[in-house]
Amino acid sequence: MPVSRRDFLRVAVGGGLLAVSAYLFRDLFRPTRLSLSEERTLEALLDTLIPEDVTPGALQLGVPEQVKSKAATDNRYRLLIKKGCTWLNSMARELNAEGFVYLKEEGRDAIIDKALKSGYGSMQRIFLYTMRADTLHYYYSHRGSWASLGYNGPPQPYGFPDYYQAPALRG
Amino acid sequence: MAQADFDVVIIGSGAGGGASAWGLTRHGLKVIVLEAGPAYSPSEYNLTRDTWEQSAFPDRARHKGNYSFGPMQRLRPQLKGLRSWSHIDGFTNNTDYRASGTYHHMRGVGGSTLIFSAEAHRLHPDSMKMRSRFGVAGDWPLTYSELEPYYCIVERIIGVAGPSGDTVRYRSEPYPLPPHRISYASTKIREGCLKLGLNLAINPVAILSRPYDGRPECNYCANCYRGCPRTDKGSVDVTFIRKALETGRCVVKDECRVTALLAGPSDRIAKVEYMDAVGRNHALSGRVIIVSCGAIETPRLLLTSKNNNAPDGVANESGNVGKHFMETIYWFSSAIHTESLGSHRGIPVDSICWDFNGADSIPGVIGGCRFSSAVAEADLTGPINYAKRAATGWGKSHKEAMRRIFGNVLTIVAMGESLPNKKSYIEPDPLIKDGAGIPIARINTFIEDMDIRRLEFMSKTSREILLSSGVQKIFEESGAYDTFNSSHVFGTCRMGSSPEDSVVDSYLRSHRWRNLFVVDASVFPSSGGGESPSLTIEALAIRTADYIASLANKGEI
Repeated sequence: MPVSRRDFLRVAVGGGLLAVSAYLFRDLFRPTRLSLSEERTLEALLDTLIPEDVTPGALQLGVPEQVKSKAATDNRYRLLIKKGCTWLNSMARELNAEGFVYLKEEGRDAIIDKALKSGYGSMQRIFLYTMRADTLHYYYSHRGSWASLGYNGPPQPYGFPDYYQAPALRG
Repeated sequence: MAQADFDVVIIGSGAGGGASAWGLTRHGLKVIVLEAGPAYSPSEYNLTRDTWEQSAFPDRARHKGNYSFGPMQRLRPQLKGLRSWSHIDGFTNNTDYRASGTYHHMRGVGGSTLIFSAEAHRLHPDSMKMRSRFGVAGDWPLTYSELEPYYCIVERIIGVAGPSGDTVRYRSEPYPLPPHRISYASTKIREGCLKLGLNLAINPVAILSRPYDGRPECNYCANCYRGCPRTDKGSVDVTFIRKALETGRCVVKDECRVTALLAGPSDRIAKVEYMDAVGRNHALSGRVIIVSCGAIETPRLLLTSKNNNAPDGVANESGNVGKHFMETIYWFSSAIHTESLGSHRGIPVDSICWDFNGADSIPGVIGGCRFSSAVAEADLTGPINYAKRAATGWGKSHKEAMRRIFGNVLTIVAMGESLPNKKSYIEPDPLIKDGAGIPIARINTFIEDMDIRRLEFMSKTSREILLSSGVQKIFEESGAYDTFNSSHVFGTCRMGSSPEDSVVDSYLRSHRWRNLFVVDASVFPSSGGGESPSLTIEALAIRTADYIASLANKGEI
């Protein structure tokens, strides 16, 4: 059957529109969850950013759950974590480990340091700055992190009527 | 003349509109206040919750106005010392151009006083004569002495706690409340100032030092700008508006956005058109119309209210509406002290150095400035901001640093005179419109050489004060040179004696439209040397209310 010029244009334009739409809405068709492997890598990173010492660490205060919860509803954030985890694991393999989770503290620190010192705009730098900021945010918004700082907030209802005196020694 | 719906229609319920409402109702006039934002209840502020640090003020629809920026000025490489930076991120603005930051304001019953730090400053008398003394800005067409009795009234209404002994600003009566003690952290700054030969005084604030007028005393939580749940902060909603409502002669309609003033065929504004929360259009008439929307929204409303009777916009016959825009000239330096200070406690801006506040007190610079302790203004009163901004690194060393430094930050803020220039003005945006189809305000801003020289002095002195106060290192600084960030804006409807070069007269009455008054900081001919403007706006408002009442008594409006 001969193809008319109009049919050809229809198919070409329609196909083009489909391709553009697929590109524009590509995020919608990507996985909505982190894989188990990515979750383990993410948890290892958060544990390194705020480890347990004499006080609880990020894992004990539920930071991974909050990051994952945000990732579940924020496509860009989730993609950044996926790419970041891939990068962390590739760096770990350069240190002869199977993945970031298998590295000891020194190895993980070296990789984090490398990311933070990467060029402005690089994916790994954005990833680590974002993870650092969010981890600190979630961790220090938890009341369980406050006592060791000598912080007896929230600010109200009691305020700080002792404000003109030297603060009490930290616990 | 047709019967008006109200004696006075007031647009905006902040410092100017709220004080006007009280000032008019106390004379028996019937007023309606149209407020674009919502009414807040102090019980909805977040400060009692563990999530307090994560939100500055309850976000609600319509609580901020939209605005845009004109082209921003190119930054000079040789002025790197005035660039904003932090030890975490390096330069905050990595471009070659000044950044368009934020116009810090609040739409809501009470206006921006809902989030202010409650500084209650009288203007330096000398800074009201900048044109005749130095050939810059404009002269105020009234004197400090004329304003002084109104300052006293305002201080009594909002409950100002302040010290005695101000030798610059004459007072006819003492502050109504005794001063607060300065915080332990600020004593370190005071020691640092003393080493430099500077005086750090107690800052007068509209924060109650003891129970007053049915409100409790402050408990020093340091977070005034997140909204005061106790109501000890003298914001307009719990002072002027409350008292105006108690008279039974005031109606406040929130979430009602005024879309136009309709100029009549003679010398009066005939109607005020507004849109309510669900998008219905209404019109009101008043014997008097008061516009109190602040120095950015007021000129927008006037300039977009064009009709055949006001072809260039209302009150813009001289072409001065939107001109002479003055912004906040600021500098922040934050540092970590060696000693545990508990600096997250107290009054947000509890102390102030007035030594350079006079218009000629900075060597070689026209226009003054002041320095204050300002950890809370820098938003360094909670663990999250310490963790993100003050402590570096990660891991165990970060946690140890947090345990060592929390509560040890000292911040100095310097605020200075802003001089008007031809490149700084407000105009309707030619492209962007709001939901009602009205152009939003476009901010055109430029920092000229004199302001830069003042900023250089402000940054240098801020660092000197911190270093002599015993800090280890400065870790974060920000300033107006590379980023527009303004809470205090002035000057876009200048008051003056002549209709040729001003918009309103000394009683804030339009030279052209005889039932129109502008009552906010847009009438300021000069900004002052870093004083917070709300007390002066409120004093002007009550003076104008007295004037309007006298006109009403004479049957002249």
